[in-house]
Amino acid sequence: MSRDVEIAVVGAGPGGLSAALAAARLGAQVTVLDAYPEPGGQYYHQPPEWQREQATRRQKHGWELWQHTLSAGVEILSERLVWNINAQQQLSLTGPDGIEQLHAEALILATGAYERPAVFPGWTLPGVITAGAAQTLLYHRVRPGRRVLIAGTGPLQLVTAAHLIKAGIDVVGVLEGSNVVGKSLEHTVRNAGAIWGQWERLGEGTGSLIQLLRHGSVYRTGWGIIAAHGRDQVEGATIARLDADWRPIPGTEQKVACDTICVGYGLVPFNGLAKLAGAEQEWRADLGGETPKRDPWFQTTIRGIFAVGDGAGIGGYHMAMLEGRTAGCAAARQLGHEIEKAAFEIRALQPALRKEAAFQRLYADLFTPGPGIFELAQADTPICRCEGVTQGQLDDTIRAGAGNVTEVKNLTRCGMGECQGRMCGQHVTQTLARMTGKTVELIGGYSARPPLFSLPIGNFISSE
Amino acid sequence: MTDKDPGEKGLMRLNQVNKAVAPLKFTVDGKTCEAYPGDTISVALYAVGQRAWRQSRQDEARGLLCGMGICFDCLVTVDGKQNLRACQTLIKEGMQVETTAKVSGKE
Repeated sequence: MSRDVEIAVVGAGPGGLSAALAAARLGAQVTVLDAYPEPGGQYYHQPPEWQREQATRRQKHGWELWQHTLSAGVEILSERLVWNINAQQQLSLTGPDGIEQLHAEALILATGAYERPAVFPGWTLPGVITAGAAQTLLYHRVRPGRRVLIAGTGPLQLVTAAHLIKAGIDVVGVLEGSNVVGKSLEHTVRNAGAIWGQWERLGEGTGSLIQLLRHGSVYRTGWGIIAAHGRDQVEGATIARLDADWRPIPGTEQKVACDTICVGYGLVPFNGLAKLAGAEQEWRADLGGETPKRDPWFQTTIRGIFAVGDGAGIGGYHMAMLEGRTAGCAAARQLGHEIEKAAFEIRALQPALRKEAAFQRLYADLFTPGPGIFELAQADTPICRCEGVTQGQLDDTIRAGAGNVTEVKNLTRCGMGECQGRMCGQHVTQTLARMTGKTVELIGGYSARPPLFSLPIGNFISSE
Repeated sequence: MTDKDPGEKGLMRLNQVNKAVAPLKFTVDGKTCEAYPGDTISVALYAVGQRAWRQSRQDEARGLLCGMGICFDCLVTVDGKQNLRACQTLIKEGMQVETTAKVSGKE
């Protein structure tokens, strides 16, 4: 089954919904394709229906945006996983009825990001989960565990800790890899302008911190996890103080008893669709890794394909919404809708975008992990969770002459499994950079190949 | 209603569950369990205290990691259909979930 639409938006998070709404208000026909049962993405992840009364302010805000988008005439198709794309704006996706093909005159990619797990001994043990997974369990009123250690960086770790504590779960500690206290003072002085007006957002983190300390949990900055222990599940962890490059300082190791470890060393943009379409990419450590190059209207190097939000560079929900609105207007304008009005709206968004970019820089300075988190694996630590390739095998392959990600992939099968390299990709890029002396910018990420997500072969058989 | 004793081993459901909601029944490897509407399989497995439910190609225990459908580490067999992501598949009444099946390329 194939159909034509005017504008297709991939992803129904803050960026995607904002883009769809902006374009629809200018008179464009917009279809949103989203992988999940309900719109909202990760940021606005909705609680199950029977928990709606307990929805947070954030979830209610997401629900309102979803309703506004629907009333503007936007078609939202849920449970549609887009796994292929080409430069002619042709998409392949799987939905409830199997494989569908869709062509759009303009495309806005708002595919979001995923959490970067550090690769350390024991990271594959059940009980090691992302902070986002822990939050999802809590929305469903289920404990991730009984004694939880949180390790990573950024405000999400603090917010997760606060949610766990509120649910009565023992949070044994929160380890922030960044030496954020020292850095904050420095930044407050240097970037006073960027922080101005951001109190509300900083407040969420600060409020969580206060709750954490009141509860008696340990909050340490400049600390990280270096190993998880256990036979078939997490039974404990080893933690250590980190230096300025986030490398563990020998002699500072401590053992912690816990049954759950929430890890999240920042976010990685999901740039897979833009890359597969052939849009040029660049490595931006400050934006989370490999991102599509974009013009001021967030159009990629392919005319008619836009990329907004965290999937095009980590910037948070507010930035995602501003980028979405801009790209929504620009795409509508490109297709001839309300040319004057669209241009006016784009101009009106510029001051907010500039302000947000300043906050984005501040955030990147504070919470971009150092190289140390890519050096924790031992020779027998699996780095490719799917194919079981170990750090030792990776090191041997690079020593034997593999000089880029594709050679590593072909020689070891690293990144060829079900996750399509999303879990090991940055670790491989960083290991290659460290061992070959090349820059991460030069090495880049895995090439994107269809299907971007593992699909049951039956889907292909039944589709024709 | 489900969390009689917060310290009791195996019961991970918090007690704030709305009592008006009727639980669903499903089976895990033949054993009948309860879940709530809107729960994914991974949520339901965590709720009954099961956190390891897959063997990797190297025969290591695996379970939930990303919780958002991108790592594919939480695969289960559902009503005979292999390799479904537990974190993305909603529990339905009578669903039969099989775990520890040696899936993904293992003969």
